[in-house]
Amino acid sequence: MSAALFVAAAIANSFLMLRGRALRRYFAVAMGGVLVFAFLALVVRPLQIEVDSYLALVTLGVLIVAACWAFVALSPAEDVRWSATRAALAAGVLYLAIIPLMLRTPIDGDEPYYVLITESMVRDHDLDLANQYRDLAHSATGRTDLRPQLGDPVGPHQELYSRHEPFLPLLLIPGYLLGGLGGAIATIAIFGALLARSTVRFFEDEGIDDATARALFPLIALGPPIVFYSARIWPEVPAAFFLVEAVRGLRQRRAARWVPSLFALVLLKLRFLLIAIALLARALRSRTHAVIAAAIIGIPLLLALLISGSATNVHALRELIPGTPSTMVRGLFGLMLDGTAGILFQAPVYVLSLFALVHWRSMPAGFRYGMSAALLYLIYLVPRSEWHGGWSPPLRYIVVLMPILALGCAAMWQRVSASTIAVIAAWTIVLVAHGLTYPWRLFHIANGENFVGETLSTIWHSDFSRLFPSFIRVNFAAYVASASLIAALGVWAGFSRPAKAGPHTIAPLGMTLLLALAFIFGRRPAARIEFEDAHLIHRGGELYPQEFQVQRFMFRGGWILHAGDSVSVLALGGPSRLQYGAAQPAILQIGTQAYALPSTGNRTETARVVIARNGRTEIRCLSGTIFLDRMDHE
Amino acid sequence: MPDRESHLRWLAIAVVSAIACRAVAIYDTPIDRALPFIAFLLVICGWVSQSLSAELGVLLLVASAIFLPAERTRLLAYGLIAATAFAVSLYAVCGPASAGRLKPAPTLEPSLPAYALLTIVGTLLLRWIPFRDVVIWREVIVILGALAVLAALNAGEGAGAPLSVLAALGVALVTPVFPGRAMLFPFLLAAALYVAQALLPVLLIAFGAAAYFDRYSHTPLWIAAAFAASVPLMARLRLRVPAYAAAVALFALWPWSGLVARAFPRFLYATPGSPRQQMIGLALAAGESVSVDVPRVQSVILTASGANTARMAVGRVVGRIDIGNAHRDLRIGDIADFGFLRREQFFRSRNAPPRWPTTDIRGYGQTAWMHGAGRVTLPRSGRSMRITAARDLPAGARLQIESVDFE
Repeated sequence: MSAALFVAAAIANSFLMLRGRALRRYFAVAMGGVLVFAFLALVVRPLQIEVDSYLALVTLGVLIVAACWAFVALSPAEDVRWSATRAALAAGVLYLAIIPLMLRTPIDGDEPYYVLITESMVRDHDLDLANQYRDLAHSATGRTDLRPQLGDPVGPHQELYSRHEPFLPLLLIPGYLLGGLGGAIATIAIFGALLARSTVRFFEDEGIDDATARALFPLIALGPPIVFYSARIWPEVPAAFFLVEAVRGLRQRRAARWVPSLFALVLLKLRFLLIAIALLARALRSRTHAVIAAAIIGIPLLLALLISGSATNVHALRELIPGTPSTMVRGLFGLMLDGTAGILFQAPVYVLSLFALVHWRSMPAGFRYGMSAALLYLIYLVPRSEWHGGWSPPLRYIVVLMPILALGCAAMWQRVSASTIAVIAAWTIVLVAHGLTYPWRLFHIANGENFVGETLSTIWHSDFSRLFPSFIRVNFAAYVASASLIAALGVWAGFSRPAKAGPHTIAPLGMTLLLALAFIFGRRPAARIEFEDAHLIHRGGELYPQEFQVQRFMFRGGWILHAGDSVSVLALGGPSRLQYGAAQPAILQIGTQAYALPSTGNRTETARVVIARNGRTEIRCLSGTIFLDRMDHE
Repeated sequence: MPDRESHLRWLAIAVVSAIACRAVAIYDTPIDRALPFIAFLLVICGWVSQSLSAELGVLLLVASAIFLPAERTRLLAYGLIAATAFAVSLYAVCGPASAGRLKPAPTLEPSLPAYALLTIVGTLLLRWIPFRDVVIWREVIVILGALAVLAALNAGEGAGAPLSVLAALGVALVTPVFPGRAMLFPFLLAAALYVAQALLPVLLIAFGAAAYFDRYSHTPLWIAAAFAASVPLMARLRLRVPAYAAAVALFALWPWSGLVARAFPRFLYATPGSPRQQMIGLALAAGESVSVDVPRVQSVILTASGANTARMAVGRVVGRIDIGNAHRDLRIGDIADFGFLRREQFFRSRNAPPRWPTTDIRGYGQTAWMHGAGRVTLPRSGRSMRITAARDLPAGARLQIESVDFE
């Protein structure tokens, strides 16, 4: 039913955005697509093909939406009903239709806590969640397993407060009263539509032509991460809306726009204070502005003090000390290139904005304005251990900057070939279809793998995850990707005036070749084996730490074997170093050799083992209990 | 018009695509082994149309080979990808000029040579995989026949162009290569279309009537002929898009093109056996019988087929089922000769696919076929069931009792 609703919303988009010949042609294509889909649905049974029908239906919906926006991008202007408001309406309709798809699984991460705060405000008119935790069965969250989060403030009379600022829950109240959880999420969807409108207006303000805006809009508003965050309860999309309105207001010197926007931005999350400070510093022109700036900064801090007892809420002043250069580099490149949490793999269109950065002076003033304001925020974000967003959909901490990055993409758009755009669009469609069908997979444990690598590893029982750069569990691919990005940006920067690319480049062919090479290489044994990874065949034992361990990325992950348990792994022949931990001595059998391993106490130690030959090897625990971290071929 | 550099670029794309496909095609089906060839055909389509569909199609082929371990899912993905890429290329070459930015400038002008090239590519895809089953001289004749149909439909006159290509491909799909004389079909059709251009509606009706009254093994040919005769009418009625959609849908099944050519739409009714299926595996000669105990169930489903019964007409009684007080004749139509849908047997046979076939589909490409076993549902009205082969079965013919389902 929810998938059918999504398909219906997808078709409704066309009436909002197209007319005349383009509309007729679009419907011809859409109906043709539906006919083909219906026929294939008939065919799968006699051919005994097992297909996830839900995935198929959602994919059909995504393709129908994509076809509509392809027509919006490619049709003559007279056949397109283009305006910021129409685009926002179209996006809003889709966001609302996506909500049931997202609710296929209970809300997760910080989402239920925002709902608990909303419920507390509505029912108890306070922020004390103690009674909410006692009565989770009657909560709209649908989560009876909720516990106070790490670091949640506790009041003097054992009140349980949330670490999250109450402004977002306040905004959710009207929607919650009208429609419970769905109504609350609909509030976010409305913000998503507002963000879509503001982004288009931002493009217009900065001189981006309509044709570019039409072509880029679906990849931004209907692509990751915005499409996911617009149908989930996170402050990121409202924050993005407030930021773009603040930047627009500051650029146009309209205080009536930027003052409330900046104020709302900081009220949403204190971390956005780092962006607000940079913007305010550039906006101050009079004493009145100084007073306003003081209020924008001071009032949220005061509220935090009143609620949590600390003006910085759960943050500490020592967090203002910038991180080490190595952690900064890791986080920065991770945000750009990580397989699970980076732009390249999770929101590929925004890679264009990276190339926009190296031609800073030729970029629109709004882009330079926004990005320079974001610098302080990024300086403090990237060295954090949770730079990747923690337990949330990807790119959480930079969703707020997406409209600014989108402007950079728009400025680069005319310089990108059609074939590159096609590859970006294809990967975006795959990400959207996957995320809408399996919303729980938007949350991925921080173990250095990603869903593509895991899928291939599971199919081929070989380590494909190592081919994807990981900055969570830094691997060789991370270094290769970083060097490649630097080289690419360097080459791009070398062109004083980048020429307009022709219709064809090597993008699809390059991807094909890369995929083939990755397949060949991925099927070979790996030099490093992480025992928690998906490519191993585990027979007994358990994952360590458990899958949903809070801040799991702080632990050394691996696999625990008890007597009789084993793992099968594709390994390189010859000597290897096995890192393990054992409270008591244990005996391990590797191939035909047995190894008596001494206990290591609370630490991990290294044991030298020999793998008989290249290929599949079984490692069996004969006695004791042993934690296997990883094995490195010498 | 693309220049020499563009042609060399496409050649490089073809070579690299074939190499990439060769690297990832590690499964042992004939379709997977032919993946480089398929990529090459897609690149030809891309070269003709100057569209991105070919490059994206090859990328998706490679991705399917890597991400889809289930054989039939993977082959269907190949089918859909190739069909879509072909359809986009066809549109790029034949589509209306008013499509504007939706239609890049093709390499070859919309003309008979361009359509002919696409027809050849389509025919190669439909009929030349698996390679080991290709009888080259027969298949070359089929290609020439398809081109004859294309020429007869006067491809190149705007609106009917894509439909003409689809019609030619349809003829190529259904043309039998056994017996040899059946290969004359497309040439006879082309002659009829050329000579009777003013009487195409009459031809359409005549072909339709022939499809209804003639035996099943000739029906696909009559239907393809009727489609070809209806091309001008469909173009006038602006039925391009439904025709495109139908063509893409059927073309997507090219990994089992023989099944589409000889068993469509009947194979859509195929149902798998139940988990409680009991295998029998007996072949009954004339007059022989077998008894099967029937437990307490709602219904009994008998799966049976014939052997050496391909020349029997629909309706011919081949056996009898006695279950309790109920009796039922078993006829051709309920079941069929087990292999009559094979390429070598089909044209000469007089059978029709069973009303309720099984999902026993074998082979690939043009040699794909569906087992002629049919499922017959019987009420449970006794404790045992006796199946008897007809006494007048010819000496070499057999009634094969495959299995019994209890539901």
